[in-house]
Amino acid sequence: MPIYRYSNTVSLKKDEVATLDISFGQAGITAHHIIDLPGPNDKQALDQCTEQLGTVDYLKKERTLIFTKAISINPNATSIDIEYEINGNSVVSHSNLKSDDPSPQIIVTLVFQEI
Amino acid sequence: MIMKKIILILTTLTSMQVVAQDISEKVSKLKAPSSPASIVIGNQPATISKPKSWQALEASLYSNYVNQSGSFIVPNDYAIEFSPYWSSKNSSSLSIKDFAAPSISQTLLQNLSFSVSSTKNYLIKDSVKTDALGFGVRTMLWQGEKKEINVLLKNLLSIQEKVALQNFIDKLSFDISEQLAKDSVNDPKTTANSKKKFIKVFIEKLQTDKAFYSGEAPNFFSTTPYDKWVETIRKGLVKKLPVGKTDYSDEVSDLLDIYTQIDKDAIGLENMIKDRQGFKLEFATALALNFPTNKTDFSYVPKVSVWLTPSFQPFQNNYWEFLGVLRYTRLNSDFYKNYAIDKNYFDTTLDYGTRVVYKWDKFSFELELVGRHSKTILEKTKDANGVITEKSKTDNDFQYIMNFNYRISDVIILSYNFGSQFKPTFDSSNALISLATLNFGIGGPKKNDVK
Repeated sequence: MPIYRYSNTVSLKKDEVATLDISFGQAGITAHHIIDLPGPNDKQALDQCTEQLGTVDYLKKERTLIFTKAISINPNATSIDIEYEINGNSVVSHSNLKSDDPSPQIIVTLVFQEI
Repeated sequence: MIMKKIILILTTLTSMQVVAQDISEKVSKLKAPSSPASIVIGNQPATISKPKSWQALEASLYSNYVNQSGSFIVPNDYAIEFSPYWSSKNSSSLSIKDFAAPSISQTLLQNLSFSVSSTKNYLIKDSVKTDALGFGVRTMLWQGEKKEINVLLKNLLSIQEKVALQNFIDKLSFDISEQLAKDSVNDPKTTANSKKKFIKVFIEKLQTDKAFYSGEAPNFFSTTPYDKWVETIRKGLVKKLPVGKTDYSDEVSDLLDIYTQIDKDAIGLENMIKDRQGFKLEFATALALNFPTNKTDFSYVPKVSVWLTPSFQPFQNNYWEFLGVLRYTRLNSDFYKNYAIDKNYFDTTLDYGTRVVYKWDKFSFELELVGRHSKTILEKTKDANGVITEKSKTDNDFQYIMNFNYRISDVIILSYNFGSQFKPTFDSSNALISLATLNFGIGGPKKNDVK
């Protein structure tokens, strides 16, 4: 299956710290995330997680990429739903049927801008 | 001649199939009840509705139990089962380890389900069909063994390592593809050679950073030599990548799924989670509610049942399976005196039994032994000294069933049942079973389906 690609623009106030929340719609999903931040400060995270990305001043220098590889081991689940939020606001909602792709690769591109 | 005999035997056995279906329903297998609410009222619904959320439960109840004028109705042959844990939003926050190998309290919560079943054909005296509802609860009190949990967690770790490995390699191919795209803007010739260039840079990077990538999935690379695996990927890329593109990340992602076999591993783990081995202890209870006049303002609770089902399948041993059952049923004597067809009833019955299954290649053998102790207290008196004297009638019965199966092909099973059932109330000569059947895996008709 092709990679699921999403992009969004996130507007934040000056000095506001961006916090990324990744959550699952079902139990029984495991995932690995690489957060490609501006500069050499990449981060890794597992499963459902909360990560501080930095202030908008820093983030607006370059786009931020989130690479997620997920897989479901829940025999009762029919889909894989993953929600990406910045400061409590949804930026990407991913959903795919397990029958279509049991181990989706997702790339989220976020562009931060100052309000 | 031999062939003709075989065909004759098969034809004879096949003609017994319809009868066998009917009898085999009576020879119910010893097992944990899948829907206690249905069993307690003797209902056999074609399907059990399983709403996945509170909203879906509400909709199911409203559409089946409430009529157009807003009054309560009893639907015929309807069953619903609801698992509150999996319907709550909090269930998605469960950690992957707790999901794969839950603790005792988590096991109890995750397996807890409530069921409701209804029928309009609950027979009372004079063969009158009445409305009845069954309410049931079931859960798992214990499941799995330490050895199994260790293997389960090891397999989970192995999958998590492969997930991380693939994510890093997918990022690598994305980065190289982006660089190729940038290069092709400056030099259009790059696109023509992009496939060759991509493979060269990609494989070189995998070789240079061997320590990093192999360190991400030590379990996988303990059985698969890293260099050999990279060479397999290289050959795959040469064969599968189209020419004239700059972004190969989709193709690489697809190939990695194949070369790590991650989907196959996940299915294996799903099957382990779905069908846990080792020791299991299931609990179920249900009560029947009958409306003898078919009016909801007059009802009886004719029966309450409790099941305790321990089972044991030795881990990583598919030859043996052991199952036991303890089933306690209490009947309401007021109901049975006034409304039941069967006047030869007992207030309480305790069934206790075991089933042993042995499977080997195409052959399987099952032996089921069940005892039944029934008791009714006829009179209870208390003398002046406070000593209680009880006068009761009791009965003991025993059922055994042996079942031999031979799988002729994937869809045809030759089966032979032999044994003795519990004494039927009205015709005790009908307790012996000796039945050969030929089962086709195409969903055979029931006796009532044949007109």
